[in-house]
Amino acid sequence: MTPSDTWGIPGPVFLRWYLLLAVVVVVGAIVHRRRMLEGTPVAVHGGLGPQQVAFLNGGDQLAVWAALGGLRHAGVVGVRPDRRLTTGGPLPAGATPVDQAVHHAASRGLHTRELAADEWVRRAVDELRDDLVRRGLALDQERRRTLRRGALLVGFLLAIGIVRTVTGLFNDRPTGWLLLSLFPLGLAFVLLNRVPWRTRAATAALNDMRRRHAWLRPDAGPAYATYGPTEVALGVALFGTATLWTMDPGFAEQAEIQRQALGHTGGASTGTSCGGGPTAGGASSCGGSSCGGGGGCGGGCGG
Amino acid sequence: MSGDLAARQAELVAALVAGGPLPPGFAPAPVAAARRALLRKRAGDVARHWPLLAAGLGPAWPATFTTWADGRPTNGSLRDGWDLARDLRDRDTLPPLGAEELAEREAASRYDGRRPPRPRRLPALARTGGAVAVQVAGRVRLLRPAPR
Amino acid sequence: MTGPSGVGIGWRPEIAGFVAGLPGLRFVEVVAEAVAPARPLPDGLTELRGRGVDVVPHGVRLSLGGAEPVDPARVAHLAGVAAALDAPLVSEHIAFVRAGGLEAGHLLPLPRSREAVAAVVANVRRTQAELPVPLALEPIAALFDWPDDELDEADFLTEILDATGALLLLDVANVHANARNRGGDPAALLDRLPLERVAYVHVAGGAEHGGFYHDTHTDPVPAAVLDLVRELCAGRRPPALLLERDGHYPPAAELRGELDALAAASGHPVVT
Repeated sequence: MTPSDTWGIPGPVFLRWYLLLAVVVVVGAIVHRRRMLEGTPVAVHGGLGPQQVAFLNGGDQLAVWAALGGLRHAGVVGVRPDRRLTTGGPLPAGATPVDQAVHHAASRGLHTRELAADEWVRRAVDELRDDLVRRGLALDQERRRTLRRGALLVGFLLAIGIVRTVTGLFNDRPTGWLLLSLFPLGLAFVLLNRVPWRTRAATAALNDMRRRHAWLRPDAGPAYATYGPTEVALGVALFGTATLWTMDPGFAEQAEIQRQALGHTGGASTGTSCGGGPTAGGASSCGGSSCGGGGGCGGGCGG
Repeated sequence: MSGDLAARQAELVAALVAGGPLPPGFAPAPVAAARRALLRKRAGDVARHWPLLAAGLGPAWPATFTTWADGRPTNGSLRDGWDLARDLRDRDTLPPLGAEELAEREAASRYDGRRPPRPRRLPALARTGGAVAVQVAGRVRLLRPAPR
Repeated sequence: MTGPSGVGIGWRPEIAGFVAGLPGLRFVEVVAEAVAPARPLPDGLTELRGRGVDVVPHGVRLSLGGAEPVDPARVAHLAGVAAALDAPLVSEHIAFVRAGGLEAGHLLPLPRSREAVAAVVANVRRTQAELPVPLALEPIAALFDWPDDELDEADFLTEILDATGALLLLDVANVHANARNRGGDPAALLDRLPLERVAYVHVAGGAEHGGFYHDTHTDPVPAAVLDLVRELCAGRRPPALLLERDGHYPPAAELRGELDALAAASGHPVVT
């Protein structure tokens, strides 16, 4: 007695149709995804502000940190001994809505960890995101849902395959090939389920900006005093909160800015040179507001 | 006087950085000023390599560093800061920011105090002054900040 | 040889973004020990080279004035950096930075003796033999003198330059600092130096500290130093002047102001 075919369909026939369908669905989902994620390329120097860059790089929270970095550099926010934020002056000209919202939150004495959830801040960041969606750089919820639908279809196919494999195993039918085909399908399901919040155009713009602004990397020890608030905000946007910790460790510590391990300051420096050893890493102690005495630095170079 | 330039240069450097005696004939005040200037310059260089350690000590940084470094020849800014941080830790005077920076460095590199630090290949956990840092594949994360 | 020209600034990673934004810039200097010739150049330097800006490697740790021969590895590194940057020339100091196995961490003065001249000349020749480009030598600032000087500063420098054929990198701030701390008339010294051999000029800031003038490179350029620049340029104007800043970097506007003041004092075009 031979066990009957699972679901009345002979194995090879099922496998053939199953694989064909799988390829069609996966390729379709990939093509759809590529099209949806393409986005609109940013024109050269396309006028992306630091907070927009920050949102594309790290979402709501990084946009808030970028705004805070710029405001701190401009000297209009501070931190109290109880770790609540405070304001130290009026907003500089050219402040963005996110700047205004963060400044307002600081004036009400919020903690930094509460900023992203603050209603004003949320509204400002939502506006920022909507604008980026319109410009083809960020994806709205609607689009991300649509993209997940492709993954759902693959998941459905995967489920059928699994059920048939299990059934086949119980019925003592050969399932090797089907089982083998489930692995790539499972991988495709996992990968398609990961929906980014920015388009490929945005990723390309970010990579380009990171390259063009490599001098803002915290491990190069940028002279933040020489640069303006916009550049500081861009530093946070591109290279994370390490920028805040490098620029103003005292403030970052007191305000409980999210910690991000500082990059290596580099190889074995034997620094006896004037002007930076082999790698001049980290912040200059002579620039930060929180450390060193003015007179304590630079004891004569003679070169 | 000829032929002893090497020895006399060595004497002068020792007087400037290793607490050696002032070689004969030199004016004491200018050499002392040069010695202090050198220490200030080293303090700035080390602070650049150890920004959080320097920030944690705040206004006390220059004095803390120069007191420690006086008479101690440099091994380079990275190692100088490392040695100082360990020294402060052993005396329980390492500020929390410095402890976190030290923990991160210890997790990232192996340093025996005698040869230049070398990056660790294997994952590592380092605890220093209550701060705990972990390193996996060269990426360092602070697991627990130092108590404040 | 076409050397550097106009007003330049010391390129440091900390201010790379500022330097990149100077439209009229035609030359910068980079600390030679901070460049690894085998690895890709820092982005900022590559971009400047692409714009046709000359990059001069400036060595600080060769110890040309050391009694022992220069370390061949350090010379090879300097030559490698010069080649990697396609530099018109390189520069180093008439000083020693280590002795007896100890690093001084600083440029130290030599006795102005025949023995020291011989030591420097031997080391400069060893270096020149390996370098693909000319070498310019920079006299340093020091707070103290050796007890047994046989020559004065001008003769000491001229003998070294004559014996080696090296160019002169004249640091006006060092001239000011030495006159202030060790006595002498800066203008008289300038008159006696072989100014026709000046490849370029260094200008830097400093500060008074404990009764001495310290050439810190972390403070603004004092008026007295700018006056010396003016005096120097009123005679034989050097082809290029370079602002050295090594820390405690001020806001961009202040740094631009210093470059403009240098352009005004020297008569070279404004680079900002």
